[in-house]
Amino acid sequence: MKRIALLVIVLAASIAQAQVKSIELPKYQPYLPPGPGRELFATSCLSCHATRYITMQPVMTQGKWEESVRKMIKTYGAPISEELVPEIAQYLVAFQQAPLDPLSRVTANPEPKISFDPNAGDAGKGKAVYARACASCHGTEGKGDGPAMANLLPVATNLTAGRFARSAVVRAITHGVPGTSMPAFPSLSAGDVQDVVACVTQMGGATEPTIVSDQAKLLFTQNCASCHGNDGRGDGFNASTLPRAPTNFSQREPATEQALKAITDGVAGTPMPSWKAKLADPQRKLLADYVRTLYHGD
Amino acid sequence: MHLIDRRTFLKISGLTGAGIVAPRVVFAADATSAAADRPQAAPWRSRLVKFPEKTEMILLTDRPPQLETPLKYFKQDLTPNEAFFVRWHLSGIPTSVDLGTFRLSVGGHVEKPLSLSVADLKKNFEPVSLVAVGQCSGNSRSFFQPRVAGGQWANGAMGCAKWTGVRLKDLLERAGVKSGAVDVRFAGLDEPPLPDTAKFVKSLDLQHAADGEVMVAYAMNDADLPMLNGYPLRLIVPGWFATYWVKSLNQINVLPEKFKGFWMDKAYRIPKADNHNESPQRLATETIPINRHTLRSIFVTPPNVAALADKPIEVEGLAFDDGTGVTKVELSSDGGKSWNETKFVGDDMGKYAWRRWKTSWTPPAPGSFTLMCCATNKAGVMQTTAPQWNRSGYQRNVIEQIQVEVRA
Ligand code: HEC
Ligand code: HEC
Ligand code: HEC
Repeated sequence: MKRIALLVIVLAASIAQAQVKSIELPKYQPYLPPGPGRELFATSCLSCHATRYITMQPVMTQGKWEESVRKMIKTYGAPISEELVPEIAQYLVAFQQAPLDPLSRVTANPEPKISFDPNAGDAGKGKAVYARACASCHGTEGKGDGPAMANLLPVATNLTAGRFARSAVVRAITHGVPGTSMPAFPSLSAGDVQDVVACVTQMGGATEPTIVSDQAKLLFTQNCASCHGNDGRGDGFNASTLPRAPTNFSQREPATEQALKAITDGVAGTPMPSWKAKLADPQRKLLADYVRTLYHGD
Repeated sequence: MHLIDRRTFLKISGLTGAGIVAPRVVFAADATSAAADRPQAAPWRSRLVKFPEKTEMILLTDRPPQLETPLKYFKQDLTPNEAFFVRWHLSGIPTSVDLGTFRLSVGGHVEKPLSLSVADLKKNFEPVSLVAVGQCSGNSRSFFQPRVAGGQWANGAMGCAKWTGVRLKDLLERAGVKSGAVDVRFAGLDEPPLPDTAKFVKSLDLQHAADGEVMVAYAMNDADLPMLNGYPLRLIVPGWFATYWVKSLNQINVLPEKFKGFWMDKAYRIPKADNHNESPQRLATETIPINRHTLRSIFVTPPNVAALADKPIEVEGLAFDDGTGVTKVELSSDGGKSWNETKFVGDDMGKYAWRRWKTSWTPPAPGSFTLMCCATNKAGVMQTTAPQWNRSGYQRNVIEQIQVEVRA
């Protein structure tokens, strides 16, 4: 009898498995041709939908585009303030005159075959690897201000403003950061990876601990969880559709200023919008503190 | 009946005199406008993409996905699942569904709220099947003049499939609708990415919902629905625009009052008067929710055909309406002066399916010819070339035209 019951459970479990159907959506890089207002567009218009919504529209005038942006604000609740509308519309006019969207697919690199210990690196040796492989984008000091970033969005992460779990840095180096210009580095040896990880994790550091507030938690659930997930692990229901993955705060603790800047201005070139028009100063500060309480590290 | 007959139309348009000879063609300028600006040749449409469970389709947008069916698939009575158009509004679409935990709830103003798995639906309710055309309200939007913003579809935002599932009526009966119920509201697994965007929720009045034809489908052409077409359950509202065909349906709510919500009250509305027409200068003041399909026929033959004088060419297309029943499709090659009836081909799959038609046409001489196709239905309604426009680019159904270049 017991054995039969067990069999049934096993069967049920395997049936339950077969009952999950999943798909992996192809993702495309947001198209951001040059033009005045590009950065503003890139922090205002990438959160809810792809830039193909612009690509396919019939040619519209500045006035028509202003109407369209106002529609986003009024009917769909886009967090954009009214005074920015003309500049965004100006960019949209330029967008329509630019060459056609090349429609570049966002690809993720497969797991690397080499094995290494992320905890065993020599930061000193890593400096040389960093200078060779990373500084052109992330800057000599790691501030995200390297010369290669001139026209690219998003700009390279400021590695000094907060901290990353070592495994997150390993992931960035071996996978790249899909949806950005950050490439994978398959040519780095296991030793090089270990060393540069040690170097990068020393660039930043922990910031002062803060206290979780219920109000902040509620704000986060209401406004941020759709992408960042309820626990801030970057796994909200909308995350799997985004070209650039939302930050996983359990592995990334941005410094307060860094977090506040991201929340206030958005991260241009990614779906992270500017919340200035929707959340007041104190609310954004609460959230900047709150996301830092979610860090677990390795 | 919201469609008006030809005489009424002519009265409204004030063209009774000019229109008598060729009543369907009441506005000559319109005859060339569609051909002059060819949105279907827009460069951005040239990229075909393959999404999960789908074949190569025309990409409108990738997030959320909007994919148009290439015209060649309309040479079949049933549109294959992998080629059926895809249209989501909000980017938070379901990418994973676990049938072990997925439940359809039927609640609200009912005696006994239900929570049903897909297996429950298959086991405990009588299965029904029906072939029906699902068509996006904005199908063919890109052909409107002046152009309107929105999904720039050519004619491929539609498809005809066999749907199998349970009658909504049976679900409502099982739940026991309380007296005083007015509307039924439908929502699916898709979610808005930012909090101030309204969730996609639609409603039907109770009488319509319980008419025995509205269906909760778990199969499409005898297979599971593709994820992007609304797996695991989709509401099927035969004869009505697909905006009501809620995908990944998981909530049905009976309401004791009229439903109020963005996607009914603000979006998907058409002008109430003037045969649902308006103009940019004079927008309608009163609008109503879009509802039944309008009668239409399209060419499936490519829009730019080359031919030789005296050599017959095959011309084909399809026609459908809201279930009233298409009785004939005619073809004109002389700007609408004379019309010849075409032949129905393929199978008659029921009143909500489309009918495919075919004919052969022999170009009399070299030159540039415009072919037009025009459907008539059982109610005596006939398509016209009367200018049609509304601010949202909905329910286009003017007489379609294609250009044929005939060489000697
Ligand atoms: C809060 C979410 C949100 C943001 C932010 C947003 N949009 Fe939209 N947008 C939508 C929704 C929802 C639709 C309708 C989608 C559909 O039906 O497919 C839409 C549709 C559009 C369309 C198609 C035409 C139309 O009116 O439906 C254009 C063009 C567009 N958006 C441009 C923009 C631009 C430009 C920005 C930045 C200023 C922007 N959007 C920001 C939600 C948003
Ligand atoms: C071609 C420019 C470029 C180079 C070279 C580059 N990065 Fe990056 N890096 C980026 C960009 C862009 C981002 C993403 C910024 C964003 O999304 O806001 C990024 C992100 C990161 C992140 C954050 C990942 C996360 O999860 O958010 C880390 C860590 C990182 N890079 C480390 C490195 C290291 C180490 C190297 C050298 C081995 C390197 N990068 C080389 C451009 C570059
Ligand atoms: C539409 C999806 C989306 C929503 C909603 C969203 N974010 Fe983000 N967020 C992102 C993405 C994607 C990134 C990654 C940007 C990057 O670093 O490249 C990000 C990055 C961030 C960062 C920067 C982290 C760093 O390493 O610098 C902070 C802080 C942040 N989000 C906070 C929030 C808060 C607080 C909210 C709610 C008020 C929110 N986000 C809502 C998508 C979203």
